[in-house]
Amino acid sequence: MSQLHRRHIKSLPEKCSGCRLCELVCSDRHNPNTTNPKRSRIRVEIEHRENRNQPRVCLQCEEHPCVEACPVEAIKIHSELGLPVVSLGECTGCQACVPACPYGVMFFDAERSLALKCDLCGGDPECVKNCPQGAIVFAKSA
Amino acid sequence: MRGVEGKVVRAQSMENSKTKVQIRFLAFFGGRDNWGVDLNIAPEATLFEALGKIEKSIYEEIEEKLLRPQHPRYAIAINGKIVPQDQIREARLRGGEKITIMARLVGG
Amino acid sequence: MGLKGYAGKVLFVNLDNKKAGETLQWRTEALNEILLRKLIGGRGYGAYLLYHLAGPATKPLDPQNPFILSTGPLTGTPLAGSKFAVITKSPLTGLFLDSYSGGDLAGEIKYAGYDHIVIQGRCAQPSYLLIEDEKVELRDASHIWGKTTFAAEETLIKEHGGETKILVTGPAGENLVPFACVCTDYYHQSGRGGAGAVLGSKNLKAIAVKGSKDITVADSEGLRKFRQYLLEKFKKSQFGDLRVKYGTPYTTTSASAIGVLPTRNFQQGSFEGIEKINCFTLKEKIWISDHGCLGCQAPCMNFVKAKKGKIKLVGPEYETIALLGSNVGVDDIDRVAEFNELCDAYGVDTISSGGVIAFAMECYEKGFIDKKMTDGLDLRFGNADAVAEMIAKIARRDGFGNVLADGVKKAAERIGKESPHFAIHVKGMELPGYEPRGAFAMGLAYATATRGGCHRRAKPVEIPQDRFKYDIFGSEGNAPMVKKLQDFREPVHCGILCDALLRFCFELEMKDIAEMYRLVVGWEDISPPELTQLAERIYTLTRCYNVREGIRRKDDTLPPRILYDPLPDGPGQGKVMGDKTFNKMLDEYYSLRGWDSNGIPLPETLQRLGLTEIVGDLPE
Repeated sequence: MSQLHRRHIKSLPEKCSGCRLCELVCSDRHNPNTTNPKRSRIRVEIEHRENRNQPRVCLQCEEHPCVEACPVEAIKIHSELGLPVVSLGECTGCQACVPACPYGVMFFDAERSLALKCDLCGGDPECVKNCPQGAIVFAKSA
Repeated sequence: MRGVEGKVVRAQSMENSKTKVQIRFLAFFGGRDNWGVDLNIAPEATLFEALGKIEKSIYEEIEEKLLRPQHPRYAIAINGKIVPQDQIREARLRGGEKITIMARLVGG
Repeated sequence: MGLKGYAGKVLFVNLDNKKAGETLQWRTEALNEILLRKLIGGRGYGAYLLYHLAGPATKPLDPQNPFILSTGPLTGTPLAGSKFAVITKSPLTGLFLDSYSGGDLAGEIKYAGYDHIVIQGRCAQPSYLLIEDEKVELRDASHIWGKTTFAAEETLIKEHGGETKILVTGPAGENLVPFACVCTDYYHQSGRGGAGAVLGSKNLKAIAVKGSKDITVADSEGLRKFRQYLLEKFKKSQFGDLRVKYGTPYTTTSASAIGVLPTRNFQQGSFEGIEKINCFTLKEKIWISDHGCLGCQAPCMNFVKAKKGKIKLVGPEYETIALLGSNVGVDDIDRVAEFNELCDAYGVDTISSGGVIAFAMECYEKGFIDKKMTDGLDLRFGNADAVAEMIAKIARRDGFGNVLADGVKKAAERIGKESPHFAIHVKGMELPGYEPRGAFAMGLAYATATRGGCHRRAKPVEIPQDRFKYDIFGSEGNAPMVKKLQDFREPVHCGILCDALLRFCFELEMKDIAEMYRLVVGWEDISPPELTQLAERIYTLTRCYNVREGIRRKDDTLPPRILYDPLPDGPGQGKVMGDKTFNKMLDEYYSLRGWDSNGIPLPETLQRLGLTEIVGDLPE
């Protein structure tokens, strides 16, 4: 069993200030020296009227319907990490995985036609390290 | 009452009477902020004497942050008015004052 | 382009009397790279743009006056709290205006591919501008014209989705109130100087931006370490924790204690009702949760309720508690929050609103105006209902509201009698929440701030004497202190990052600012002395702009009350500033800036700062 089996990034929305640093560092982590929230695998949903902010990111669920939805098998369980990872080289940008995700946390980079899914940064999630409020934590699933 | 007799009566009543002042911390002291304590002081006590009645560790923090530095980052106010640094030791209290300790910081 | 940090382009939009659906004239220009090291971005580069686009022949509400949204190379990067600036000619003062705001729009402008967006001209009908990367379109705004800022933004977010970031003007801006503000991300405002009226004069209700582009930084590993460094600085800071816990309202208590809190139109420096409107009462009675800006590690804003829980808003900030609390004699935090929400919804600056209403209250109590003039309003200090009604009337230019809507300087000219004596403004901009008679250096700061009576370039109140040696109730040391405080902010306002965050939460110095530019832009050799020279260059450039508009020494002054009347109580009791002390500070300041005794930058100063070509010939 891999080290990342049954782990995911859990969000604590009551602590989230909506600063979106997680989005900025995620895009940079996966595209060195680049900041672009549209290339982030974590997105903060901001509700203004009640001032509620919710970081939303892949829950690494057991069912992983994204794997089944992909027509070209570009989303596969990574042998070492033990969780589904999008192979960017194989992704055709068809977006079938996006509505397949019941939690709406498969994101899509429209510029480059690529599906974006959290891969826990290989075990040391960048967003968790950089959240100033502790609103996202590297958790063990129940 | 006048004369010696009067003086004795007055001295006795001074010994028995105490007054209260309220000290409120509006910055982090003792690990928390926005808390306060009531103190019994002798009438005509100085502000310095009143501070001396506070629990030792807090008093030491006040000394370190407010009384000892030449240019402290904290200020002390009596009834909402700042006490200049050079007047803290001598400022006299009558009883019932609200003393506040706050950061020397103004503005947005 | 190979530029790091920058998007690399300036977008120029010409509204040209177009209607929604018609093809819009727009073009992009590459950033002038020679100027980048000299002016960096934000306020600096924006000043260069405005200098060439709006001279003395252009009035603030003319179509030619550009509405410029400016960012800098640091905006939108994973560094610290990002901001953007509105740069334009102010309808309130007729001078240079730079007005800052946080919120997601700051980053989105960069992600759309632009460092600056320059909008000139006027639409034929109420419209809004939609910018999505290279798509720039005019859309119909007739369904949101007349709506409050909240309602207008909500409608546009519903239409375009949450990834589109919106800037709106409110009814006050539509009515060309010269201190109308613009609002973004619901709860952030570029408050001062009338940016909202400039948009209103263009028939532009909103600007909507959505971007998908990359920003490249020079050293993201270095930025990672620097962010760690910032968090350590925060832990070690004197008052970073207090700032996050309470926000700017924290210091209302100390301001009143020190005697610098404007009370009843600057008649006193401390307010007897301060405990009912300070941060502790705010937290206890109306606070709900915290709110912050894009990229900020230390969210300092307060999301609160008002009108006994019926409405919600972000605020009130220190300034609002001062100008719409103590300055109007209201000692109820729920009412102050209610006033804040009214100002935000209508889109007016809380500072100028509080200043002009307090002025009217003093006129009323002195019998210069009566109920007939005030449309029946009992405009006495402390009458909270009257304040609330007055805000609405000002925004709508309704009745007596129209007398106050043009600002306190014009209101005093209209009302006459002795009222100009206590019309509290500098160059037409109402003063914010610091009574200069409690800290004379603040008077110099107000008199020399670029945009008028402003506290956000230097705020020399309660500066520790081991940082600067100066005379609180005299002239000694004040000029060098004010200059240094102004200079620190310049490279931050070029960034653009939040200067308050960098000063109070991280306690950064020039060397840290230099490091930020090194890490983001890759300027390996940038140094504090270079940034200080940049600061002097930009400060003098914006001064040139104002000199060209006619500003001279006589305008670098203070209201008569502030100069000649002593405070009745507090530490400043009985101390009069007077012409002699003020002029001494001003002379020394001019000399430090390299300006002549009339406040005009000397030719050798322009030469030294490399401004001669940009500025051309200055009038005498």
